[in-house]
Amino acid sequence: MADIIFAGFGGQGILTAGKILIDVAAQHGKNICWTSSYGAAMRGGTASCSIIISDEEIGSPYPEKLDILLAMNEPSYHKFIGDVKEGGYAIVNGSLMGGDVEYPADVNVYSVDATDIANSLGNGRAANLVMLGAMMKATGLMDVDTFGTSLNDYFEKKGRNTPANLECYKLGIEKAVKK
Amino acid sequence: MSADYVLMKGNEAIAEAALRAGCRFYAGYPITPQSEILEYMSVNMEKRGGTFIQGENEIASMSMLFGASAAGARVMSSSSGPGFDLKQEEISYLTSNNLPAVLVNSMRYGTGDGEITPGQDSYWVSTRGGGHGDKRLIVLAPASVNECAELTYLAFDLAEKYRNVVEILTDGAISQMIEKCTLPPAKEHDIDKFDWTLTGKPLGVKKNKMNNLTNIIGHPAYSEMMLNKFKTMFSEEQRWESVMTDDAELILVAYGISSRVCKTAVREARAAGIKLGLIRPITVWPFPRKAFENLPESVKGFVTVEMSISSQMGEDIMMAARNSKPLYGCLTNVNIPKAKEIVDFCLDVLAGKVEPMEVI
Amino acid sequence: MPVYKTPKSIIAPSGCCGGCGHGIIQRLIAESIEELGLQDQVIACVDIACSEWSLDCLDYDHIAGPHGRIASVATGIKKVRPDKTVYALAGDGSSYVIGWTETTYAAVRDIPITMIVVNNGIFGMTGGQMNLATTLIGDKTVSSKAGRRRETMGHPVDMLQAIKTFDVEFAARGALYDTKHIDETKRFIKKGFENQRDNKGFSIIEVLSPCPTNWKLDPVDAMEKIKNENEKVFPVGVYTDRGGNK
Repeated sequence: MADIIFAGFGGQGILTAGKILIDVAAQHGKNICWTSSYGAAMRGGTASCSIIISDEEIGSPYPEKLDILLAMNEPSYHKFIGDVKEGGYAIVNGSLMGGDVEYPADVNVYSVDATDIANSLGNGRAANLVMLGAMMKATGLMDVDTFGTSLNDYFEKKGRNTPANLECYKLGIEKAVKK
Repeated sequence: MSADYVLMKGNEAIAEAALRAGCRFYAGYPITPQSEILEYMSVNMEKRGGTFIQGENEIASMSMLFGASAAGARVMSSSSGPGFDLKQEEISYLTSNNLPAVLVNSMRYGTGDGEITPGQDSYWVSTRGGGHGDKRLIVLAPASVNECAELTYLAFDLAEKYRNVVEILTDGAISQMIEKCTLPPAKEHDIDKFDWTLTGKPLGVKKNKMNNLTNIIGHPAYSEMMLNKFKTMFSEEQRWESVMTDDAELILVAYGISSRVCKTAVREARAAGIKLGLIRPITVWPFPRKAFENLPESVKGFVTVEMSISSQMGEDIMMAARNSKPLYGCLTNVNIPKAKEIVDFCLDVLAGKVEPMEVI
Repeated sequence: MPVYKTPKSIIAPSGCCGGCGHGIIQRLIAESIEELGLQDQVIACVDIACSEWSLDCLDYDHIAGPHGRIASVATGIKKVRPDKTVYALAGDGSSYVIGWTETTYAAVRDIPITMIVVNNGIFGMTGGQMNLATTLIGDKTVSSKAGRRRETMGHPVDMLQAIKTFDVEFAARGALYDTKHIDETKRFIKKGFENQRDNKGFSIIEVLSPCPTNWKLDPVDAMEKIKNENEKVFPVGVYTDRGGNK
């Protein structure tokens, strides 16, 4: 059971990262619900999606308190960090966070330089996969290797995979550090 | 949930289920938050041998639908808020000719242009609307993506069974969310199945003249036929889900997105020892009055949870409960209700801090 | 010497007012259909108002649509039953005023139906109100009692001039004020059905038709008015004929 929000700029692959997560979770027998802001909100430059993963029937699709926040830029972090439960997780994109952010003591914050790592592999659009790697390592939501295989399958099914995708994911696992 | 699922948005599930039900004619006009239905049809309808038309407006789209239905096809259109208003003219015409059609109304909140975000304030236009004259639409209100598919599939059979318009009343939240969904099997519909359709018959063979049925069969035959139909639909088609009503002190009444939050509220309240129950109408017309029969003595009142300014469902609840217990309104208008707010509201009701709502 | 036979499709008199053009138009439709051998596969769409009377007169499957939407209704039917002969019969209020959008987009989509528009310059069924598209400047109606004034009521407009730019198969205007023009009108209507038979595209035939009742003229004077006044604003003839070359 996890209540999750992914947030960032439009174009960072926020919604896709969410769809990968629900795809894999659903394959592992979980109930899932994904929803995003739509319409005019899409054009504001920010993107977010809410995800609920559960063994039970899912009620409201809009989580009230978060187990996990995945924030791909600083504004998204500030917008949602107050909603994270005590003992919950926040995964931040170190590449786009200022150095002076004070992280809360009661939330497990992990940082990974997702944008820089993805760019260094020439796969700039896969910063979201670096974040997913960091998230799996931090939260243990799913087995990291199983999720990696499933993530790779996801892109294979879509017919647009590149080896750099899995590599980005793995670097996310490797490079994520607890703040 | 069967292992054989797909992940889809509510809108996509509606569109795919319609195609699987043999819908081969769709005409519509874009409007948020239901445009994925139109987009899905634009990609998939021709592959199934049907017709997709992006109409110049809602009225034209509905008039095409009217013609296509008269010609025997299974037909669908979809819209929201101001767009759905424009469909009223042809709903009346479809009714006056006893023609089946399936319409989707994905509610966005507000009056006029309103918002594009989810709402539940098109309950009246759906359950009371349908243009001028006497008419009743069967209105199905899915609360999950799976139910979007299930009820859309059913809608085509009901539309045909009663030769009536059936509406899928969803909202921006249900339409836009992705969940697991088990799709029904694909079937084909035979456009020559019925003898009342326009087929282009040889001279001398009895023709179908589709005009107001009042002109064709006259009064009072028309009125009697329609009244019988309304009564049969009312008694035969009530659908609902009851959750923990057997020993409830307060019963929440909610459909669509609100009903999902209410389920969470019931679960959380029960964990804290508060006896909440839920009646979730699956048909909002006919309103499930049967769900309110034989409720336990423990029930002290009903709480309607709706995203509207007025309680649009309130009258139906009072009528179903025969005014026997007080009704309280947890009305969140533009906001999606939160489980904790609902539980807190119910605690206040039980503590006597909330006045019963007068339905206006 | 020609032998006049009543088309078998006509099963009842038109029921229109004396001197009305609708009955002639219905007959031209029936004759055209039978001469082309299409009478066993027709679906007729008629608009609300005087066009609706033909529902009882012609032995075809019929549907009466919402006022102004008949081109859309016909579109829906033709899409479901593309091998049938689908025609739309409507007035000028329906086709050019309240339903101008629907007429326009049926034309733009090039739906291979035959649309017949009765231009009588007035709202007949509702008691003779002004028609925004076709009532002439100065014509007196019950909603322009002192005569139509350009300054406050706009001016009549030749919609076929617009339609011919939509790249349709065929657009033509006929008139009913003498036998020569009735014959010409029939050729246009028949051409419209031929085009549909050959799946060529959208055909529209407008007919200048008298409404003696609401014009408050006797039938002969009504025909004279068309010849001397209406035809000057709405010239008869072929506006476009694509000849099947899409």
